[in-house]
Amino acid sequence: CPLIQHLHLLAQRLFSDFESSLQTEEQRQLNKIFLQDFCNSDYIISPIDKHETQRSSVLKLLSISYRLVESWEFPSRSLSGGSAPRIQISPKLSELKTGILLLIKANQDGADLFPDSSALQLAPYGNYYQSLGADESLRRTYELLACFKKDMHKVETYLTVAKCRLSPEANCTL
Amino acid sequence: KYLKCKTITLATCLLPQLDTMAASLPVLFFFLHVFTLSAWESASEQVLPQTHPQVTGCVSANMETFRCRWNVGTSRKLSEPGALRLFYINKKPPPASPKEWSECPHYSTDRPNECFFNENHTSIWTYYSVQLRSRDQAILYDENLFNVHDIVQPDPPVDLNWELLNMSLTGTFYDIKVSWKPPQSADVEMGWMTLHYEVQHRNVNSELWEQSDLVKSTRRSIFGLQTDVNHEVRVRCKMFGGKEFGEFSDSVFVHVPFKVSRFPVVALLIFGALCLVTILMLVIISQQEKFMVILLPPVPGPKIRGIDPELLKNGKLRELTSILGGPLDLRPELYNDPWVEFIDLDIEEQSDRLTDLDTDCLMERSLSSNCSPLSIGFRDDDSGRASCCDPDLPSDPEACPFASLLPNQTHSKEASCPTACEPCFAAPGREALYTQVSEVKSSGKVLLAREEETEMGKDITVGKEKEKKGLQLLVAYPDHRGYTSELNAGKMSPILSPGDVSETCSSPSLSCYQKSDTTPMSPLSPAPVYTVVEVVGRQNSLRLTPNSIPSPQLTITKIMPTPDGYLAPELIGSVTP
Repeated sequence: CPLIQHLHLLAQRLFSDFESSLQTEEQRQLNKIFLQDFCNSDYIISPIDKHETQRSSVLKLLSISYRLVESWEFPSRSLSGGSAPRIQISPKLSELKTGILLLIKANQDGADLFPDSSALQLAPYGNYYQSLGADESLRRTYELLACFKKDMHKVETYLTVAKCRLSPEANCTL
Repeated sequence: KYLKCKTITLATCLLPQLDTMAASLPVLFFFLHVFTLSAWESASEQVLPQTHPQVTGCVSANMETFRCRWNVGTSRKLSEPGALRLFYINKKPPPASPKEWSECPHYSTDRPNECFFNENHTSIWTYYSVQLRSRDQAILYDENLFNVHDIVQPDPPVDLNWELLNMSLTGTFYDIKVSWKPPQSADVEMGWMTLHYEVQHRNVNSELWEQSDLVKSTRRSIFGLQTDVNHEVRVRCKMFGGKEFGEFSDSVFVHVPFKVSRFPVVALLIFGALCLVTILMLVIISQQEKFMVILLPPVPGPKIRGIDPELLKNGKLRELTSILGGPLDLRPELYNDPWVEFIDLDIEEQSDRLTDLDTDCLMERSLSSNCSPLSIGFRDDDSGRASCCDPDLPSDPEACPFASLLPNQTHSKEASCPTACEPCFAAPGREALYTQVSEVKSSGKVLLAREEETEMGKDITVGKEKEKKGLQLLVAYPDHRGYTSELNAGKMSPILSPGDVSETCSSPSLSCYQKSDTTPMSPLSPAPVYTVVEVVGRQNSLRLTPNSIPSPQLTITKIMPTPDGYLAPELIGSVTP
């Protein structure tokens, strides 16, 4: 399915783009703040190691990816790349989201898509990033970028695992 | 700086314990102790630069486990095993986040100063904080914060080998294909890790490595390696999106000996090229003229027909202007030029006119009924004639001394002309004889000026008088009514020379016309009048073309075969088809 590859590339591109933009922010001291703060998507429960991921079903992985992407749709508009060239992130995320949804529908076997119905959970975290200290714009940007990068990597990994599992001929061994 | 750092870290460590007042005293004591220790240490080790233990880095090879390493610094005391301890905290998602520090789950046994975190203690996409403390946790030497997915450095690829793709014709260069396998530790099959590879190769003698772009596949071609040279190839990989590359794989050495190909391709190519060049040269040399024409086409010089380019060159303007200024009709070159076309007009009423003239002839004496009197010059038979200056003449070669000048002697009609006649008014042929009419006598005789003498003068006339005997010219004009009317002003009966009369009159020659009223008399104009002698009769009689006198009433549409063939504009109007 070429759509998977497209989405994969998209996720990878976003990931690497912001990985480089994150480096421009630099300042290792800011790492410490994450001990106290959270990423927006922390409420979404997702496998955090290989075994968990292996145990998870494709559908679960896809749905988690979908929610992760969705959670970034709004905050991505306020992402600033610093010296990195401006790339339209939000529409790409929408595209990614649509693609994941298609995959979900293709793989759905009648099971409920969102068993835990975490739509309600979005509300309190909807304006999470706005609640941060507005005066510390640099810190906020750094947070945003770090969290975004992390989530994109997560999504990419989940999608890759799902792809390799779905299509054996996807030459994952290369 | 060192002391300051130590106090700060100590303070942060001790902060949680400050609430217990009971421990305040030992804390103070401890604090002092630490101070003295540090001071002592700094005093004792002033010779060597002070380096305290630090975490050199935490690295994960497979995104499942990771290990942290540190160095002990210059302190000998801390080199002892267990002198330094590593603590960490893993900030997992909110549901389960132990906020307490844990010690390293496993201190590595194979090498010192390393802590290994196995799968149970490793979680991706979560924050880790690692601290290096002293044995009694009193001193915090270093701290490190990271995400595991950021610290991935894959193991080097394995099983690197190469195969020859192809070789150049000359045998000096070749291409190879290098292939390898991903490291076993990285789980690529599952898709857990996506690796990108970088291939580097170099000539073993040089220090500079040539590196390729990142490739996703485990194969890569290298082009343009030299034979008889040792090459070194190595590969390394990194996770897609990762910052750092892993270690390089073991190098593989490539060497292909130079093999002299049995077929000396180079020699053959040179030989072929030389042959080609030789052939080309031969072709060029043999076809030199053609090539010269193609390459350097001759530039045509200025040329005006009938004018010698030499005149133009040397500036002989007088001759030039004389040539150019002369009447058009006297230009001989135009007669000879086949490209100059003369307008020949078909005269439909020719027969009518002929009959008219016939009557005149008949009046006098028409012995030769066969001869069409106006055949001369009136016949419109331009087929086969190159120019109008070749009139149709009664073909009587013997009778006509000038028969040879006639281009066309095929008029059978005229064959029957009696020999006595002088019908053979041979046209001057293509050669028109120009001369100036110096005088026209009342008898109708025309005195022509000699060729050299273009001026009219008494001396010329005198000269002409002398030649009168030999040059009795009878001017015969064809019957032009309009013309005659003009010239009849001084109409006179022509006085022919005795010898001519009988003969001339007996023949339906133009001399008959002479006897008729067609007595020409051109006034002796001071300006020389040029006309063309059309026919020179046997008895030196001339027939001149009257084309210089335009007559609107010319019935004969066929303008006398003008030697030049041009219709003057004024004549065109007189043309009636």
